[in-house]
Amino acid sequence: MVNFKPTVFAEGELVYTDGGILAEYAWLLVVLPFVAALVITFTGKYLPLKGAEVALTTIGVIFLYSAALMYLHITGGVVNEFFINVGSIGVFDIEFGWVVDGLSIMMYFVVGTVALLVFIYATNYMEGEIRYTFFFTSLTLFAGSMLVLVSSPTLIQILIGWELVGVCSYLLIGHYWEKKDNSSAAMKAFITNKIADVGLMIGIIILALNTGTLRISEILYQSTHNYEKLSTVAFVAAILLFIGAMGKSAQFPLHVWLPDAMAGPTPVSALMHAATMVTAGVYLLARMFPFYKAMAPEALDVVMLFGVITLLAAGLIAVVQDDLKKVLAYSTVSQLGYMVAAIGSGAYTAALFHLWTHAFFKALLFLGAGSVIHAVHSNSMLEMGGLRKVMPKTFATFIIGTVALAGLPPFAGFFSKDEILASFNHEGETTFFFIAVLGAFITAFYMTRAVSLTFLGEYRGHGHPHESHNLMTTPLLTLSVFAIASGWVNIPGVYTGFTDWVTTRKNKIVEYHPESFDLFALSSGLLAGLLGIGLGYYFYQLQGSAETGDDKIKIQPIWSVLENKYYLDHFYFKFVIDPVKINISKAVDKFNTNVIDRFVNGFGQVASLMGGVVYNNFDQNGIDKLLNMSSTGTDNFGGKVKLLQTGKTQQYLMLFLGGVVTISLLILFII
Amino acid sequence: MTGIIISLLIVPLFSALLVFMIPNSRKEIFRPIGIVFSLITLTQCFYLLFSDYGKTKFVILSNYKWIQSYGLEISLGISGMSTLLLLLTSLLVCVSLLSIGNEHAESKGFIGSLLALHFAINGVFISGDLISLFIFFEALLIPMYFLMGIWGGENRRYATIKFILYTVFGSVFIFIGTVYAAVISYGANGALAVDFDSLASLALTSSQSKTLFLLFTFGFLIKVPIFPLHTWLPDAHVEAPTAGSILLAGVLLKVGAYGILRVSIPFFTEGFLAYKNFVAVLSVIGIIYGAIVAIAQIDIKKLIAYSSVSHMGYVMLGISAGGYLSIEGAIIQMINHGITAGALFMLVGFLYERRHTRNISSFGGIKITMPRYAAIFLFTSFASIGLPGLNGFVGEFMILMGSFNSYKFLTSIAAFGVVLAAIYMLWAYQRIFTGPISNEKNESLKDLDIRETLSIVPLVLLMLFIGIYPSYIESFVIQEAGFISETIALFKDIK
Repeated sequence: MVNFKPTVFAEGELVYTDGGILAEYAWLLVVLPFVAALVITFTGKYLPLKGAEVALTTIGVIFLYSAALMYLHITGGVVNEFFINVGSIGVFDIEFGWVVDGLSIMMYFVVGTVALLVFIYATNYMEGEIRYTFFFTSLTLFAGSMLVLVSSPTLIQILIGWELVGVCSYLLIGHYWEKKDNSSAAMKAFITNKIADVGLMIGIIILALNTGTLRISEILYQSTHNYEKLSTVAFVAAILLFIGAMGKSAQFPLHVWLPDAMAGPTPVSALMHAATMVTAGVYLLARMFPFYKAMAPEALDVVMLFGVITLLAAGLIAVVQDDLKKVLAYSTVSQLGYMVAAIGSGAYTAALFHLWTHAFFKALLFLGAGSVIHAVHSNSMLEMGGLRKVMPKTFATFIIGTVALAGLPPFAGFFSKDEILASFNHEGETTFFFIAVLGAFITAFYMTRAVSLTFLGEYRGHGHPHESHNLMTTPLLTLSVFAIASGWVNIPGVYTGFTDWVTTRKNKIVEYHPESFDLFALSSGLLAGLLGIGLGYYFYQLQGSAETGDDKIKIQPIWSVLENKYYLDHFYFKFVIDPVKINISKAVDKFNTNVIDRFVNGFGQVASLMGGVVYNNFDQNGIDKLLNMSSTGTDNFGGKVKLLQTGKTQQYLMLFLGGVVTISLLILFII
Repeated sequence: MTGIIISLLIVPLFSALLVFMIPNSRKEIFRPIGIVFSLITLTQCFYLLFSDYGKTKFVILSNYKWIQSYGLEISLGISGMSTLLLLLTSLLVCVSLLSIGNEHAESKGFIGSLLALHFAINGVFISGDLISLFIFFEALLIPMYFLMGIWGGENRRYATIKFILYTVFGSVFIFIGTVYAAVISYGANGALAVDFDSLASLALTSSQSKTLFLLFTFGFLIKVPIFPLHTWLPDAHVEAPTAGSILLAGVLLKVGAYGILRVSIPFFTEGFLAYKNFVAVLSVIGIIYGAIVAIAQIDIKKLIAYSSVSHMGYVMLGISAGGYLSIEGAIIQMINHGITAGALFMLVGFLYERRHTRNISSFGGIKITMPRYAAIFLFTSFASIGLPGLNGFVGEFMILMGSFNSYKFLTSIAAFGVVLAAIYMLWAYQRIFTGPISNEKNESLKDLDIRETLSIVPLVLLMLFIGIYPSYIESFVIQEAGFISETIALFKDIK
């Protein structure tokens, strides 16, 4: 039943290895977190660190394992996939398994690294918080679910990992469920994702029915070899899969859950925004990229359109947020827009490269924000300011994260964003190119605003903020190294290792990849970033906004449109959620009671009415009179039978059962 | 093997009689007796499951002559689907006996009725002819009548009469159908042979097939229940005592779908092909409609009752699509819904015993006082929503996948039932369990005790097991689903 036989074939020109024993045991990456979650659940309360040590050890092992795989991959190239057949439904084999190739190894490494640092950070950040042990159980499961997803060689396993990630996010966002807002945010995340999942599920069903398999590599093979049955449904399936990706990767207009998801503890936000949840959609698109490219190029245009809308729309909202975490949340949505748009433009590597760098610097920014919030006990930037003096380590690392996000060389974001811009330029998407450049400007602007309001100027709060514990600052310092250096793995003309990593797959990737720097894209992006920082610094520092926390550039009515997030939440509540929850469901319920059920009751009443009429007029006066004449004899018998009618259920039942026994005995023996 | 089949009837019957004979002074042993005997039946079902007959299509194992001069016989048999449903029945009887509070557990009539119900349900699933199917189909109403009418809630009289009348109304059609089939059979064979083998060999004309299909299916669809014949269900569920609700949702609803798969489709295939689109439309309306009405409910039990309407809609969609995969999915969904809905009703019962209310608004924040209960409730909710990795997903996914090629539009609509399910379950969960404790009566609630935990845990484990390893349960219905779908396919080819 278990198929451990490695299957290797090379469709591209590169030579791969099968990864040997390290690839063969990569299932440990997926299984360990679940074992750990069980261990923590049952023993966590009795352990000295309340279960955190189990979680940390597990994630540590996962990190080391993924690092070893990464090393193996960089040095030799690994492509392999393993299947465990657990049976079949109809003609479809239900298989679980694990993929060990460039794309998945990159994701293992991202999840492993970010999760390890977030876990270390969380041991201190969550100290003394309610449900500490359960928090680590869920966090471990969260990482584990993401690994289920990215290790998946079959669509069915993708779906399972996909939903598990959703459930874990539900548990973690609603960690402080005593407050209604938090449990509402958790529900909103789960249900928004569930809506998108319908698209994913139907997409998977269509793909499976038209390829006869659930194996991804098989579907991709059919895509690149012009299988006719698949090509007829490709566009629909591609769009449906993208709807699924829009949910998890928070693309406009399904992004509304992500900012609310800030209700969870900050380590959760860091993990969710960097590695374990929002990247799932981008990962799915990347995994299915050969299918999109070969069979549904029109769908890629749709993907690109939504990506571009998202990157601009979310970026603008980030400018007006006063909650530090919300600025970062909208920034994530915007950056996800870049990744999705990149995939849409056909720049597979650029999208993944941005996912890679973004994971590190966004985790850094979130953990930095957490450190600040931990110190001032507020999310609002209006109650911060001047923290550079008291929190030097947090400040320094936050600046590194900011510059990386704003896209200045030699920080990570510069290289990945430049590749996306270069790809737009290459594809001749002039409008989208300029929107993306505008997005880069906005990114730099709102990050500068956030830094100004948080760290510069004078402290406006009332507490006594202090630098965080080493357990929190060490992950920050480590992530800063990544935020600087993670971009150096893909420098056009110098070293393009990353391209080789992620394109080393069973199915060949056909994409545009820049051979050297596109100077036009590079200078536009750089200029936009510098301009954003400069303007931000001018408005919020030189104009003195950071002193007062007051925005001097509020321009009505644009500002209020942005503050209300384009009224999208209002729209959803007014026209979708409230109607469904209240109006429609109540109306249907009323219809149910007043129409359908009334009909049923009416039917019964008419029947009993008719019974009465028949009884009084016909039965009593007609037939009964005849019968009464012969009733004397019956009376005698009736008197005896009456004794049986005692009104006691048990005797009725006894008689019923007795009757049954008698009849069965008759059937069995006598006749 | 015949012995085992017969004992599936005799053991519950004997245990019911035994309970009635024990004097009321020994009321503490009613429950143990019930549990022991249902465990015996459970063991027998396991034996059947692993025997040669655990995976087959329906096989008649024994015939008993009833009215000899007319050639009327009682036939008993077994199949993969029957075995699974028998197993589910015994399990649910067993755990519901364990779960109920002492008030019911020490009542002779209650335990006796429950065991009598067990007997009648077993009878339905092993019936090999229309007559005994009809008899057992009716017989299970009697204990149910007492369970609801005596130990039910405030509005029990109305609910009980509605339930009985509705079902009996449907049974009239089944009865007419049975007589009609017998008459046709008499014309063909010279005997009133209505056992399933004889029925399969009957050559029916097109109009006969359609008429018979309508007669039988109408009766069965009331039992499912399908929209718009569903209004008895919420009332019956709300008013029935916990154990009654568990069996009602867990098994009695499946009797309808079982009848359609066992009788309507294989024997009256032409009728099925003529009306299946109609049934499919009603099923999908039911999926969405049931879910939307569930959102509006303020009574937890009613909410779960309407969720049953929605979930059974999937079963009927899968059946009416008529493909191998969709029918297999429908059978598995029947089992899974039995487990999940049974568990949910049991959980609501625990809460009701503590607070004597099922009104969602009288709770809030009780996760603080009942963490274990909350965790199990959430787990079961996720199973009910159809989360991959838990049992609810398996059947629904197979049904959606199997129905997609026949009904692209309807299946896509049906898939949104999952979203609505997430809304009503999680919203209810939020209002009952999270937030601060709003009602001081909830501050002293006790978490589940050992007995209660023991009665829910088997169901929880099954949800996980089936969800992770669905092909195990699937292996028992492959042949049967194959047989039913081939019957349909063959008939299409002939046409």
